[in-house]
Amino acid sequence: MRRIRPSQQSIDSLSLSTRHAHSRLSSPLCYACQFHSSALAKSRHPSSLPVAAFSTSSARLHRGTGGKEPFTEKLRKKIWGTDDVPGRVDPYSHDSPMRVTAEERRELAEQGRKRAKEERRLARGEESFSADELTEVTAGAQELAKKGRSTARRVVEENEWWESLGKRKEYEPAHTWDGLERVGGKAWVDEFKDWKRGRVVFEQGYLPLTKITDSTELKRSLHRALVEVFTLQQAGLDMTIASVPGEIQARPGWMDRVKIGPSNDNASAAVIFQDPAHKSELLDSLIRRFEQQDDPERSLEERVATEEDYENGAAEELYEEVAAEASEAEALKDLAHESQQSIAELREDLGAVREAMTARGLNMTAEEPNLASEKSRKGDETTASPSDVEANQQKKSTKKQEDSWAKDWKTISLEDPNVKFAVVKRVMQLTGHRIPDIVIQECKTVGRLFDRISERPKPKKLIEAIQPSAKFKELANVKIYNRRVTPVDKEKEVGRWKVIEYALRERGLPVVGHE
Amino acid sequence: MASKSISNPLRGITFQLSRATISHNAIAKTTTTHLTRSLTTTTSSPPSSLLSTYPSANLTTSTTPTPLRPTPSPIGPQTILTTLHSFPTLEPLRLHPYPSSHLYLPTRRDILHRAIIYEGDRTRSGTASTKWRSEIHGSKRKLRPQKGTGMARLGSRGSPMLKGGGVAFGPKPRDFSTKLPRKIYDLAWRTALSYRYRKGELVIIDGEMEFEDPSPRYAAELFATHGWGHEDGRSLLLTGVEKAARPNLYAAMEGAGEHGRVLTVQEVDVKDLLECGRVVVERAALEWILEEHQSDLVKTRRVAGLE
Repeated sequence: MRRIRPSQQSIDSLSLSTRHAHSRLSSPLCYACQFHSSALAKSRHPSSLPVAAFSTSSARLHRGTGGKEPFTEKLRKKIWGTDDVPGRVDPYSHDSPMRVTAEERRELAEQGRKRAKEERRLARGEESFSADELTEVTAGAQELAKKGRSTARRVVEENEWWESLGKRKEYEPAHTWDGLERVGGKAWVDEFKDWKRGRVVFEQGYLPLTKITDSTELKRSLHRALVEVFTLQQAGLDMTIASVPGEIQARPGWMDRVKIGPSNDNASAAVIFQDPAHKSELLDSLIRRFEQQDDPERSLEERVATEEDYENGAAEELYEEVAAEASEAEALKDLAHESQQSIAELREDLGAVREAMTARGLNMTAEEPNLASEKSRKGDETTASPSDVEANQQKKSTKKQEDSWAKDWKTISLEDPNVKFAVVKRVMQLTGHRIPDIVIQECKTVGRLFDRISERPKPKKLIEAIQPSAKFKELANVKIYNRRVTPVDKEKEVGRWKVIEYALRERGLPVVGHE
Repeated sequence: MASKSISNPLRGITFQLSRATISHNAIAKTTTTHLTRSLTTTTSSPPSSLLSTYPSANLTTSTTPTPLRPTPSPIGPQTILTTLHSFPTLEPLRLHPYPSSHLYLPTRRDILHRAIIYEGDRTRSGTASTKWRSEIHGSKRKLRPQKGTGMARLGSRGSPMLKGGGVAFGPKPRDFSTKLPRKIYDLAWRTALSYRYRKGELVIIDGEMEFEDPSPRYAAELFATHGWGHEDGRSLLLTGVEKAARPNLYAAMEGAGEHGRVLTVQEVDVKDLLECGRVVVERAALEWILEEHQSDLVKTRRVAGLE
């Protein structure tokens, strides 16, 4: 590259060229500040950029070096290996055929306008137009055809660009952000998450990303898990279908009114639904969720449909295979159906009992006879007067806890490893807490499990450990900070830090740390 | 012979039980104070109110109808449950039992310490080396006469006293390894794993532990999701097969060293098991370790020269 001597390359030439380029500007500012909105857009044109004035292209250099062959020219000759170098030195210079001159541009713009006028007229339905106009238009079209289709397209595009520039002159800066297009933000990030160099992204495992820490909510999750698992157990279904991976469905409102407690033999639990319909609803939803996750039926249909082109024998074989796979799900469905039937029977029985009770003037909620803790109270109820029972029920409604937990709920046994696993897995899925093996091993009852999962996690910092205790609040001479008290803090406390900082700055010394 | 070895702990229990019954009799006979202390700490004495109400009844009873006591704690459960997880979602798949002599041992710091020292000694390269005067290159000629020069006596130029001479008492390559009985070392392995189990820091993967992607970012995301990463004290991943069988896992972890490390069962040692925040291990790898390190539990006759 050749250095341009200052005498040859005065700043005036720059100013002249830029002034020429922006002669239409109403208020030429200082050289540096000519870039206001519209001027900036125009000056994007490479030839009109002030930088172009400093260009080292041969055209400029040629002028400066007085006929001597410029270096770039020599280089080009060497590259092509001939004195007669094809092509231009700078394909983007003003006089390049790549560019359309200002006159041509004006001409083309006029043609564009005429064409638009024509279209408008056509739209209005006027088919007749003057001969002059016709010749003009055809001449313009011929000229365009001469220049080649690509050039024409480019020219038209450029025209549009210039026109859009003209529109943009009416630009008004916004003073508030209302109604402006918004870029970025969380939604944007989510949308472009896949843009990660095309790699696989690990977003979520089996557990939900947020953990439940509230004790009441934890208890409700445990209750839900227990109800689901023991209902499945009583229906004779696989208990782990409650916790198949997938989206967690919303907790039904009646779940709070499902009572759970230890069974008579203390080996299992008794689940009491206020309305037996809820039981079938629960089973239904669990089975549906399981099927959605695995979806053997859908896959069966799909696979058979896709195999239609195959020979009949092969297709039949395939069907049998798939049917064998699906048979398990069907068996599950059958079981569910059976359980529903039994529920219906139970409901009928209960209905009969209730009728009998109402005939005797007693109110009765749906209760199963095998609940250990309920036995004695039930005996009381049958002998108690109706008003007492009503009072009892009012108490019940005030305390949701009593609705969902029987008296000795903490003693519900988890000795059966299958039950334990199903409960623990569902609790993990509902709460987001990973329950370690040692807890699973040591929890023999539901109460113990609840104690372990509702334990406060070990505090990571000292402040977290001592802040809840009111012991230090009473002490006048003790203050608690959430970080180390530094010498700067001590200076700040006595109001000396500002002085120190000023003095340090005055001397040009680093305020904190060292440089 | 076999029955003798089995009955050893049981003999202890029966002994304890007999002691307990003796002490009950003693309480029944004295009936005056509550100061009598049972020899066992776990048993509960019969309610004193009953004893004071009916002293004669207790005095005359020859056999105490004591109900069968629960299993004493020294024996504890014979097997313990572990959860097998899928990978990478970490869905609990099922419970799997292991003998408590393998994953439920008491934490013995002394044994862990001995194992770590043993490993540390064994891994020392011991290659530090210096030259003694005889090994210094050059002539062994006497530099000047013994006497008569007025200067100090001097032998060869390799003397440790001279610059460029040999090093007196300098290090020579040697073996630093110390010895540890194999049974203790094997106990240390199982103690280390048991410690992890007891702390809830042992995650067992059912099947292969392999990433879907070889990028370290994927590893970082996975570690963050499961709470395994730098914030949570890093993790050790243990595979049962060689590196070539888990290309993505090893490639990803090479760039995600701040979040954890990955080793094969052949590479890992007791110290590695205790270092990171948790151990994530393939089931096959865990069982390989347990099987290899149970010499104190099984009787094997080792023939010299054969493995």
